[in-house]
Amino acid sequence: MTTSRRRFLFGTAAGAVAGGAAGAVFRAAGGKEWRPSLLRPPGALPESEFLAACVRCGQCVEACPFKTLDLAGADAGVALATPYFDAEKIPCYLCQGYDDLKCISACPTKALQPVKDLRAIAIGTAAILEEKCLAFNRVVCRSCWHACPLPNEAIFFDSMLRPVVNEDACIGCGLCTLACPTEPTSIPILPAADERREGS
Amino acid sequence: MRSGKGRFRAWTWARRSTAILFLALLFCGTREWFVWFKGSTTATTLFDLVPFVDPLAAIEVMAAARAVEWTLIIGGGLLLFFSLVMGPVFCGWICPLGLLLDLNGGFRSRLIGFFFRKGQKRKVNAIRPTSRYASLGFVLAFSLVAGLPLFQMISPINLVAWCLLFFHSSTSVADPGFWELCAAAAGSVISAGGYLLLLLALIVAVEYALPRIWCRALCPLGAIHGLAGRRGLFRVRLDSEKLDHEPCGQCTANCPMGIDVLAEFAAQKRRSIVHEGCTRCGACVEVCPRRVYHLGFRSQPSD
Repeated sequence: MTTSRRRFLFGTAAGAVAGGAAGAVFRAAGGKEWRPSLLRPPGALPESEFLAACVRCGQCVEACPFKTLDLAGADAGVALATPYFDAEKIPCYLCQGYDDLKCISACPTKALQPVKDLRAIAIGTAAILEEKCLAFNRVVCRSCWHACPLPNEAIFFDSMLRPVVNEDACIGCGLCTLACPTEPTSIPILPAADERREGS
Repeated sequence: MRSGKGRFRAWTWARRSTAILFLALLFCGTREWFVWFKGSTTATTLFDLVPFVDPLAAIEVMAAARAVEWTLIIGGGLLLFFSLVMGPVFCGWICPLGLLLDLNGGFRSRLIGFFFRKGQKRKVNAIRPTSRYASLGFVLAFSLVAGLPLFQMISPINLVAWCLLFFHSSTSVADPGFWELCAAAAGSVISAGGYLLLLLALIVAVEYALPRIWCRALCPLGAIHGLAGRRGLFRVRLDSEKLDHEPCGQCTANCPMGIDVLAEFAAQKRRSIVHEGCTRCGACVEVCPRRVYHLGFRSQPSD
């Protein structure tokens, strides 16, 4: 056996044993949960699978025509360098006016899955903070409803003209979050995180 | 005998220019100034069609996701094939961390030359291929077991590229100019929890004691490229008519990867270097006072 082959076999085997052990400890400690809940691009796999499948190349970030996406910094723990967005800064415009969802087309892996219909997207769910929402405080405001890409499906009004979110229909794009006139917003998006709905 | 040190180092500058050009193209991709080459060090797309994927990233992601993906196989295969033909030129000619360490190494030797007497015998830092392979085995096994592509999160190679290419969108200026971008990049390094800054500072600090320790002993990506490109056709070759030169040891003393060039030639009995650590950087070619080496393609199988 040549020297270089011996180096390769011995080195890789020793490293693999240590790496396997470290991986098992990491897994047992639930290391994949060492991250904040982030809003993912549309079509993203469930969080645990997404963390495995994402190659962290940033091509989705570059492809986004609205500059919605950004790579997460080190404060994101094990989600470091994965794409996310902050709906209060720039929400996901769902590539309205374009023929496809640019981030999904740009993804070189299966981390972002193609979606046939906008309604299959499940980034998160809007949640109205009733104590701050203007419409709940005797002001006429329909900003979220006007901004919603699925008006009367995802956001509708009750008999008092107050907005109500249909959690099954809301896709979590965050357009309402940005449109909300209160500061900070009264309708944040709760990331779908692990209990993401299956795209149907 | 005159050392080759005062000479214009053509290979060095060709190499640095290539690495800078690669980063510049990627940077233009993020700013939409040049849209045909997109991505970062882990994966890029040429002309919206041809994928290039860092082979280690491809294997790690497939191991972590436990799935076969054709884009990754094709993209990783393309780069591995390139290494197979050309040798591990990624390390010497493209890698952004390699560029940073190379420039830093140049600064270091100037600093040492300024404070210490010239002509001092340099300590040779030997290459550690086994330890690089151990690092490769570690990240692959970890990725498979933990379901997370470990090296893609902690890789200082990616960090150098990310610092330059991403983390800008946090800038408050809508259409930032050059200086706003620089400020945003600096701010992003700090806002990323100090991790980026710390790691880079650590690597650069270690550089001063153990030059190129990352490339020589730790880099799993270098291990993969070295493995594929060991017998690559583009090599450091010994000019045949100068076979019996009197060794001065400059080549060995100046190899950034710590390869004992003379010993390799003596042991292998061929006219070119076949070593998994040789990045085809041309340092030995440039420092040799007698110019006994050159970088070129293998012409005969016996070479």
